Amino acid sequence: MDTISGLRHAEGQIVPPAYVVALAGEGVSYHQTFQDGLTNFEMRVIVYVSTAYTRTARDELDAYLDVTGTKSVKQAIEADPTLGGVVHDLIVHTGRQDDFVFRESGTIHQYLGADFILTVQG
Amino acid sequence: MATLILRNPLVALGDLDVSGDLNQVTLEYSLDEVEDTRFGMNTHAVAPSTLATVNGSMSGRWEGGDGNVDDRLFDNLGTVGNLSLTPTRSDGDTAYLMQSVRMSYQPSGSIGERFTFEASLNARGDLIRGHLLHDAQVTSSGTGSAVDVGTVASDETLYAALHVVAASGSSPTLDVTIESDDASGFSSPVDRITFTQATGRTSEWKTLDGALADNWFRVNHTVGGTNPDFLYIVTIGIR
Repeated sequence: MDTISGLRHAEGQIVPPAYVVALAGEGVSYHQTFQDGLTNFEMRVIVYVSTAYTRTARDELDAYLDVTGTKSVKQAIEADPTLGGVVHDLIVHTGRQDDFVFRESGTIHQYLGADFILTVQG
Repeated sequence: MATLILRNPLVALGDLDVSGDLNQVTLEYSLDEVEDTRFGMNTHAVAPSTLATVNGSMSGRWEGGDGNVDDRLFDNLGTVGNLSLTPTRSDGDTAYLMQSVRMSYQPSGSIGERFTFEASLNARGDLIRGHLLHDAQVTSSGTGSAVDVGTVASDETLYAALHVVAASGSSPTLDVTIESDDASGFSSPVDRITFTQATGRTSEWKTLDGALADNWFRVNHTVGGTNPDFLYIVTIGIR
């Protein structure tokens, strides 16, 4: 993800464009082979693109969702399928537009973003 | 009666521990049927033949590269190799061992899914049910755990399979001998089976005809070379 120019990892407060990584769906599936030889991680990468629903923001969203390109999240992640030798392999299954709404201390934060689902095998 | 959830079996195929690559393994052990229907019977009757059939199958994740599961299964199709299978991996645990012929190998996968394989093998001799005698890494000479395997009658045979699944060091050597005694303290061990010296990954099958009065068995390994490091497995049984 660090290879995508202008996109930073969200630390604490979300200042788009930013991303976070979390477990998704099935989470961690242990015992995929005997001897703990393989573990499945279902992950999600959320990209917060903008707080404004403008055409510029939508164009940027499309760039993150694109199959290829300098801002393609799929391409960036799959360019290093072992994550630097840490895992066996991974695949980005899906990416979709999503609206993310948070309430914090009575304030509603809303972001246009994208939600990517990955399977990581480690 | 306790049940077992399979987590960490040992599946050694020749000089490869494939345990971490598999998520399914099956040994099918059956006797051939002989038609035994006679006049006056209303229902077909069968009698067990003395001829047994042993088939094995396994499946799991595909992994390429020299010495890994794809390399071993593809290159060794049709060859005879040792198979050792234990549901759990402590010395003395139940083990199944046999010589087998790798009969089929099917790598397969679908888009977006894990690349997997299925393999089958047939027995090239009797299926032996016995014990795991040793499953550990060694860097110096020593002996393994004492296991009560039982005595070997005059019409029985002692079978043993050696799997050296990892080896490193400078000119490393590993000599493995199976010795026996009539007590677990091994105050007077007797060499029974001596495997060929290993200098790398290898596998060997050995037999010894009865009668043997000793019932305790253990491995004795001698390690040589510079910074030698071996991971080896021995299974043993009587039939």
